[in-house]
Amino acid sequence: MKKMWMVLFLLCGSAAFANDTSIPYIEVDDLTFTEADIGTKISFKGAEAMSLFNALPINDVMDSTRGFTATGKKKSVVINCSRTTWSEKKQDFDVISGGPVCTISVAKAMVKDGESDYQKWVNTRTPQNVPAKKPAPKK
Amino acid sequence: MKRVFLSVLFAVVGCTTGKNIDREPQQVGGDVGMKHINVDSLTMKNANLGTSMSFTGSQAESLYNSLPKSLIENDPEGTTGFVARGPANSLIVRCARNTFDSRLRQYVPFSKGPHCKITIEKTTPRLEIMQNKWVQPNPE
Repeated sequence: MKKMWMVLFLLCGSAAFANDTSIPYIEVDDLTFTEADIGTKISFKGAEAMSLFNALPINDVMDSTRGFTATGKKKSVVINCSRTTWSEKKQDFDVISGGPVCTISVAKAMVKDGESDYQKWVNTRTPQNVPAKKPAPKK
Repeated sequence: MKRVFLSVLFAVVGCTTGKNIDREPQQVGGDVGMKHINVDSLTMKNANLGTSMSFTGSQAESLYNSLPKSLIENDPEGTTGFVARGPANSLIVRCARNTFDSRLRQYVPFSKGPHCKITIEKTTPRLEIMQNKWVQPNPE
């Protein structure tokens, strides 16, 4: 019974995610596109995509999806990474082999309700620093 | 005469291509000095080389802070970002704090907050691949 509620919750979450309503967001100005519009979708997969997954805010209770929306006035850019996919056959989530699938897509901006501030993504941590570049050994 | 000319041409081409040039490949494009991850399958729908999305705003600070700093030391643009490198094309996610003001002839901060840009570019050859790899541990 508990599992059923969990699955139902995740399904609702996934459905809402598709419409960018239950995903952390930031409000942005001047959202512009060149050769991109609603329907544009860029996706990639791989073990190294875990770095992007780790950098994004958590989206669900099972921590299987992370991402956010950059919400403009009419359109949004959605960046999300997912470690699992829904299996119709098993009626459960399957872990995606080979690393997370990350997607960057353009969607219609959804009107946020009163709870919008709660969902706002605020990340104040310092960007990951890069070690000083060592000079390449001369041959 | 024609035969002599062709022989000289082939000799020159042969010498040039056979020469072991000791320098890094020329890096063209916007992903120079950025960390990267290698990805298996970079697919695009309604997008291609030249596709770009950009936004600015004070809240773009959250994305700015999540991305790794540029590999360029004392980067005047204050860039963070990464490249998802596919075999043919790459996806570049880049945020910058500063822009060059040609009137003042110096870098000045974007007035509304960081400027973030997502673009698709042709994958460029790289050396020092391991050093530039983006490995972000889970902060949670």
